Amino acid sequence: MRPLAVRLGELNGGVPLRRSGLKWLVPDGHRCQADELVAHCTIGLGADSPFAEERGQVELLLTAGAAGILRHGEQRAAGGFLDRMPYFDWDADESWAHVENATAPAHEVPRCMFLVGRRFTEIANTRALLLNGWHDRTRAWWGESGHGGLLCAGVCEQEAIVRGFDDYRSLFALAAGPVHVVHGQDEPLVPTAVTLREQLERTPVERLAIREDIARTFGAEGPAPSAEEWMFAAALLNGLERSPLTDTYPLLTRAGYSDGGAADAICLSSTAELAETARHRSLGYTIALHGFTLRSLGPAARRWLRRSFEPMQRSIGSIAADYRALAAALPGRLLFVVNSVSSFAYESIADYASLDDATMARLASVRAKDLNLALHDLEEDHRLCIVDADAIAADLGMARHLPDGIHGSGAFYAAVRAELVRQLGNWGVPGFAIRR
Amino acid sequence: MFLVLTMPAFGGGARATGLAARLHAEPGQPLRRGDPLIDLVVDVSGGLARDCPPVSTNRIIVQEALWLRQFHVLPGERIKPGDRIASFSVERDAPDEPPVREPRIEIATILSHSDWWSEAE
Repeated sequence: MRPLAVRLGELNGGVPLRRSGLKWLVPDGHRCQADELVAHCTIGLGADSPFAEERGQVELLLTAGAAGILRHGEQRAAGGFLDRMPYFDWDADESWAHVENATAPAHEVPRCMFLVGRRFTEIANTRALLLNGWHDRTRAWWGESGHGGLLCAGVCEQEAIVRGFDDYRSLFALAAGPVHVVHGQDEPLVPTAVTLREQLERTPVERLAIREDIARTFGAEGPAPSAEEWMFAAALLNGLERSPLTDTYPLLTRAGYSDGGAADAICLSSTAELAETARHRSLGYTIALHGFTLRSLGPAARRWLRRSFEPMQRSIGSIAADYRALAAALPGRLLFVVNSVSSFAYESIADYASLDDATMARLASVRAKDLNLALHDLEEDHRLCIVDADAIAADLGMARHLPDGIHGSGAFYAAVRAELVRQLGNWGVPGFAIRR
Repeated sequence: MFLVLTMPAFGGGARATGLAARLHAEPGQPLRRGDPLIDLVVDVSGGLARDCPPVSTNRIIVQEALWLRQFHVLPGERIKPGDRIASFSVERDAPDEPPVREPRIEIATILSHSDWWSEAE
């Protein structure tokens, strides 16, 4: 049987494109699956393309096209920067790989996937690895049309759940159809329900007022901010000026550009609902910052935060009200929330009755369980859908799968990922049915 | 009978580091079951993880009636698993003697954010 010659195939409806050399994700002779991503290259689209926010560059990942033994084709690439920058014309007929002993179904033009990231700044422009660098948003989609969209705007756990540790490939191996998945950065502005709602409602005039206030007050008194502190202020302003929930997205497909619109579903993290946020003393907007971010700040940023903001304790009731308001502001869009893991690795309370009131009021596990219960009330009111990470952690075992109480194992995130995809499929989000 | 509390391993074994954040009792004070003793800020990575470090604040709560004889740490002091935190006696005026065991305690992970905002500049 002749080996299957796998071609690049038409991209962008045949409009001329340029690409970098191909870089292999698997070795020559690898026994591959048909939808396994085996090679990638950079596509240059130009600053006047719909991808201007993403600097006009897209990473393209190619599947093998058929199950069998993959043989690398001869490439025009010469390594080095020629494998990073789009120096070569896209040739739809170019044969870039062969699959020996290919089993049906076999496709000469394979399925492809795109990856793209929006950098905080042009100077954060490392391209040394796939999707490397400082992005405030990354996203991935299959190259065909008819995408169902998911936006993840939670804390770092969502990076592990959707982007995984292989740049979305595990999630895309699960979802059967054409999906588009977006992941937003959670630092320094943590995406709580209230900060997301304020981002939705913020007017251009209010954004300008925040920008002018930060420009006027940051470092105006006390020690001069360090370079790192300036970057903190800039990244905070970047978060305050954006509204991830209203983003719409261009897509590149084999057939051409398409408008991905806004995401059909949004996934949040209840872990983002910190017990304390802070409110700006004069402009009234809310910020939420991780404790480790606060602890890492230098004296100028600390002084600015303390002078400009007042801390606000958040009750479970106020967080539930924030979720209700957020759901009301997003009609027609599905809201998922990954709940909080509510057992803590080091906690060993045998008798809650003996604890004093002050300790009871500050128990992190009790607050997490109360928050999870509030999510159940919201789910019953059809405001949101719970992805029950708490139950998955309990089922798998905390000691083995979340040994430090915060960071989970691959099996834990795989289980949460599968549950999220299953629920998206059950709710009818296109493309998200679990692959059989 | 004397008892000595040492810093628990917090699952991180020898890697965990603690910071004595707040002492809740005074030497010579009687402690009842359920009384808080000390808050420890614990990093089970031992300070090695810089991205999203596994840091939590844990309150150590005594689970038996004791007299606090001495703290071996000061607020702000860094400690590691096995370091002595405090000594106790079962009787109020017991003479000093080698400790015979650790006290019975509970560990509660607590919310700790608010201290940052009120901390002096």
